[in-house]
Amino acid sequence: MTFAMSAEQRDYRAALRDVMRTQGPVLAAWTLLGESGEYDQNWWKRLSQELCLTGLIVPEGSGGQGRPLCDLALALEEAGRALVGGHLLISSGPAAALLGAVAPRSPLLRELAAGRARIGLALDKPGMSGAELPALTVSETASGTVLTGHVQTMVGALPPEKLLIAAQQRRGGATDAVVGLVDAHAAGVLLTARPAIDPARPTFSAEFREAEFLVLAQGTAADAAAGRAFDVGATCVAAESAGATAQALAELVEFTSRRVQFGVPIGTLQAIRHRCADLLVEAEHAVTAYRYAAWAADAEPRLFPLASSMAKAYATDAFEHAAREHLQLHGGIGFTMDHDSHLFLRRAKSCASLFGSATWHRARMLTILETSPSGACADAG
Amino acid sequence: MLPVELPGGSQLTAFRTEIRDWLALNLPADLKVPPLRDPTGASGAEFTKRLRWQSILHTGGWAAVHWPTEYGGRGAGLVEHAVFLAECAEAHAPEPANVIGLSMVGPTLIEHGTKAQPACLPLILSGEQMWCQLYSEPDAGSDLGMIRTAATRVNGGWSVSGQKIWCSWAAVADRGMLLARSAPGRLDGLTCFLIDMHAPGVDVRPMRQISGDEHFCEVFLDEVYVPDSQVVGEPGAGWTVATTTLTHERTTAIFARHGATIDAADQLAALLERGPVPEPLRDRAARLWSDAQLLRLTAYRGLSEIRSDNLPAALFIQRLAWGRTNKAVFDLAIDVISEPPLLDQVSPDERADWNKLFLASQGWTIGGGTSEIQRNMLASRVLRMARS
Repeated sequence: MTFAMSAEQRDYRAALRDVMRTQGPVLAAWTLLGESGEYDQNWWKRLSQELCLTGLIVPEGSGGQGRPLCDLALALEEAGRALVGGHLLISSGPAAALLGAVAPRSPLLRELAAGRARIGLALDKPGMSGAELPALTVSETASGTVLTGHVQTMVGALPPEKLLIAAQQRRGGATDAVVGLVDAHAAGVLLTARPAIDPARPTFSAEFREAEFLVLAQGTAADAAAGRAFDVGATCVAAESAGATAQALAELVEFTSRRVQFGVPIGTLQAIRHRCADLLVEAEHAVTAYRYAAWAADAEPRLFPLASSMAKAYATDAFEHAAREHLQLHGGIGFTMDHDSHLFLRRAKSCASLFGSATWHRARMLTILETSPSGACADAG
Repeated sequence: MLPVELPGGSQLTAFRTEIRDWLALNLPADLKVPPLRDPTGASGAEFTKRLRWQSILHTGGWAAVHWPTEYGGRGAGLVEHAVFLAECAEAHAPEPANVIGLSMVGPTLIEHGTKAQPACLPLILSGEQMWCQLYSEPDAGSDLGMIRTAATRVNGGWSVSGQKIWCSWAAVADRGMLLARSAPGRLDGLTCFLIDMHAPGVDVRPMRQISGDEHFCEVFLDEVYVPDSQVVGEPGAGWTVATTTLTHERTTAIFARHGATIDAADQLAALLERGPVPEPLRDRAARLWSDAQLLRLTAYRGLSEIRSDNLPAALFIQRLAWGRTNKAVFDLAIDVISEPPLLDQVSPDERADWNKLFLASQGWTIGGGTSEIQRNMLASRVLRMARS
């Protein structure tokens, strides 16, 4: 079914909503992260081990739950509502998808499924050339295969233990795709964090100088795995954005019903009501967009690139709009650090740039439609 | 169309397959509405095609799937009706001619009519008796509590005088469902009548719309005699009677519209391939393409979330979102075909179609409840915000 949820999925979602809310209506991103930049260990255990989120889409044979992307996306919608930060999204989504595709037997995948891996992921570069992978040089030396070059954007656990790299490798005169692993503490690895608009989801750059490189896949296999993992990442961000959009709207409705000026709750004024109604349209479409993409990932894989681009572009735009309205309609209080409003805005901006901007995704949609309109639109019923 | 698996298990999917198979065999190629043509043409050849289509639907037993079987329908629920309308639209079928009779008058008479009133139902089904709706007035548009058309008691019935406006297809209607004021007050003083559009005192004047079409009419009523037998429900209960089918109609009718909007967005995307168009216009086109897709997908998601007595937000937002998206598609199309590289790439006929549809699309954020009224409804009924 494209949209209908099973009873099992509904129960799962209810349980998730509960856990996500254990630390307040908005799990403020940085109250979650301790001073060391770590998740609260008990809470992380509940997410990764009780709810099995990090292993949800990892195959059962690799220590995961073997669930479809739809289930993970539902979970991330709930995480989005609570503005959960950190590496949950990257670990459970694109990293699990990439590693599961190229190294289903690797111990690292089992660690990931169990919530114990700290992975930094390189899948895209800002700017945004999106699915064009960063170009690096892979070469053979006396001591083995080594990696050299610069990756602009890495995401995931900070600090990471392992770096999962999907890149274009230069070999001789040609380039082709490669996926491999680098130990974050190895010689020739320099990681640099950037000042982040969303400190709960920092990004960093990586410089490699003949760093020891474990190749997991090359050529078309690497290309297909990286492409799908990118779309999984885009869909996960869309799901998170849809949840955050709905939450921002719910808080706005609640606040404007309570806030009295000129003798009336400001939520009775059309200037406010109409803006909330417009947000409702976007919130509803955002949910549809990510669920369709997540469904397509498994049921209609040929549509997944188109559907994930549609979801990413729509849901992150909606989230940005909702976050701006959240701050504006809260008035002065929303401008203070004591209020959660800026957390929505920060997360909205980080979601907007992660795995390709909305503009980039819309350009990709047009390219897909122009090259294979029948492939994209034929009704399989 | 992007594929969608339906909720509710194999039964609904089987129903959809049955519709598709029937349409494949019974919808003649010459009745199909090409993209960028109005499926609701009110006159001439287009209207004749809609009459023919209704008669084909009737012969196949598909004219009113949502009516109970004893009245000639199939007893389909809201979800099946929505799927039926979507399949017809996606197969490029025109809208049946007697759409007001089928969607509003029939269900209302079945629910509130006297024993005798449903006698006209077979004529509605076959399209032999065309119906229109007479609700809005010059001073009662969004606010029907302002209706002033007066119904006064006379021997054996009522005498009705006043002016109605925005009456779709009234120029071809044989009968009309009318709301008139039988007592002072607002919504509580209204009575619902069935009137003969050919009766003395009824004067119908088509209105020319900015697109050149004449779909809407003004109707002047001058001491029109309406016998008691033509009152629907109790006098004074007109508002309840008139809104009987509103939720069902609002929900299902939009499923007949998604197909054409998606076709238009596809046509718009195809225009981009005729010549170099600036990036910002391409970006807007991609945005609208996905808006059109998401509108339809959200509606299907809504179908899977229907619970008794609770219309999901995914369906409630449709009218507002569709009006806006539909309008924006044609708005951008004018910008795109006005770009110098496309001036000679778009034929005069195509250009005329886009121009006309752009103008026609302005009505979609006004008719059937303006976007402003839609936003108020969403705020009150879905978001449950307090009213002033």
